[in-house]
Amino acid sequence: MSPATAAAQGRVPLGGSDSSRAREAYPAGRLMGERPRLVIRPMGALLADGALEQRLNARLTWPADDEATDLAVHLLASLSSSDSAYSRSALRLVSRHDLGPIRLAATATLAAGRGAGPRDAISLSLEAGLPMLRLEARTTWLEVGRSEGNRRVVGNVPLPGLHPDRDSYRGRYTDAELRATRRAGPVAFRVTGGHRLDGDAHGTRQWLFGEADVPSPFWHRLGIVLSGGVRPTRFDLAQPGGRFIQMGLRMDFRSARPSSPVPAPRAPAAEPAVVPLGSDRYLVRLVVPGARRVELKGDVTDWTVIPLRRSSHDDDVWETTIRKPAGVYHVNVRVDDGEWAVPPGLIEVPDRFGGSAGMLILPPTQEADDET
Amino acid sequence: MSIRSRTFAALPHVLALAVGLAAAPSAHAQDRRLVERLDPGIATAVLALVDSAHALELPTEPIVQKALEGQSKGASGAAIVAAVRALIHDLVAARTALGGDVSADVLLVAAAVLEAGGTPAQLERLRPHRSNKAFAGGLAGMAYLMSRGVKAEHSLDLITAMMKAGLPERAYTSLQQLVERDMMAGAPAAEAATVRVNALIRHGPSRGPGGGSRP
Repeated sequence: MSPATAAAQGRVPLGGSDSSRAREAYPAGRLMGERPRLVIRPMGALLADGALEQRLNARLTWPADDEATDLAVHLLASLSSSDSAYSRSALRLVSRHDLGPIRLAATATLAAGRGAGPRDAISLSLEAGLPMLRLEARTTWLEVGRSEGNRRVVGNVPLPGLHPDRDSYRGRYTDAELRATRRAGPVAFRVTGGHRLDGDAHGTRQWLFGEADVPSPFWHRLGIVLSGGVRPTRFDLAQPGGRFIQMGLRMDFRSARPSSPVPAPRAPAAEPAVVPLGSDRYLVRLVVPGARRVELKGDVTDWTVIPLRRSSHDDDVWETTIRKPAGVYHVNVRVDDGEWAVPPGLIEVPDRFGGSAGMLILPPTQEADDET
Repeated sequence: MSIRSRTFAALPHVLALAVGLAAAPSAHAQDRRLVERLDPGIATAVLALVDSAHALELPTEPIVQKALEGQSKGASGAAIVAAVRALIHDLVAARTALGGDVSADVLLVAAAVLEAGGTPAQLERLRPHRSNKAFAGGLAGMAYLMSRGVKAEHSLDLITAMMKAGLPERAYTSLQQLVERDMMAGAPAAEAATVRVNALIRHGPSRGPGGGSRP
């Protein structure tokens, strides 16, 4: 059945034309449909040698959700100033994948700078761990050109290996870091420990520092960030290492998708099937003809998006296994990256956000047996 | 010892304090989802509402889920807090109307009826049927009919008739499917609902797709 026919019969609306669906099937296409997030962080640090460092960081992220899987793009800009200034802009690509509870992430950062710091830098990193505990290995390559006068980073720390007779310097260093994050109410704490595995450390081969992010009670987009400890020398950031204490602001502008009414159900055909599998497990089946991708979110998934799998017996049937006790739940479904809608055949109820959700009833096992 | 030296000498102790605070158990361990997914100010407000609901002996999981739903649907923080507050209000009203011994599922669906425009007095009139196995389905059917524009009193009459007939849960799902089909053919919702309810009461729900007979 063609998507147009399905739509005419009132099935769950399919998203867009064939070409737009094809484009949006690729991660980059889906990414460009996401709204960005802008984080601005001005900060000031007091270093061990008494130097004062001012820094302004800005980051534009797609998608806005930092923990979204698949692909993310960051545009970074940084200005730092101690006894001399360094400005840096960078493009970062992040690819994430979940293996059960473990999240893997691969990141590539391309940076260019001007002033008292490296001209070019490339970083590649691999990260693995749980949301609260992550391990990262990162290698950074630098290039400093003599003609730009990039001989020193802020705080009088010379870039490694720079020799007056050389036209430029190319260096590399590799770090391993372990980060633990914990929340106490609205306050987020993070402790980072690390070791420089390879390359010049300029006296700071191990480091340990903590950070507390305290949201403002007056404006939820504003927070105060306090940090201190021993930090590494990051040549790519023009950041001297050593003991420090730092205070800054975090301004977080997350562009939220506006609430919009969810289209009314359009599928008077087959009822969704809920098959009890025992032990609070249910197989939920939806009939969505002509679909390439069907996703579901609801109370049964803590409102995170899960993909349904195509049935091995019928291409038009999509299914997933849910582990929840018997009860009443609300769900929405999306076909081919279209709009979220009420799944075909479920009772529609208002969601209190201007839209609707479908009422999915997971029957007690005994009651389900009575009706079969 | 200079101020600067004392400052740096205190750093290890500050760090240890930070780590200790970070290691302290969260006051809302089971609501970590809210803290992780909502903006901090909104999470604080919602957690306070969840605490209030808990103090009122209301089911808190639907309240947490409502906040997560709002976050998932891109609702503003104010809208999320308002929706959670309204849900709690409706849960209290539903419990008062139906009695304190109804299940959390029934309360949740009854709150949906109130959200769709029903009144506590109308819920009270369904109270004699609360021991019906399909009570939650019946309430959901009422919420559906009202969302389609059927007046609350008429929806109540139709659902009451179905409950008196002892129809099973799937009858209310069939009702929705049939009314949707009739509306797509141009029939007014109230008229379609009346016809289909009468047919379901007479013939019962079919097991096949589109169940029930045509008017």
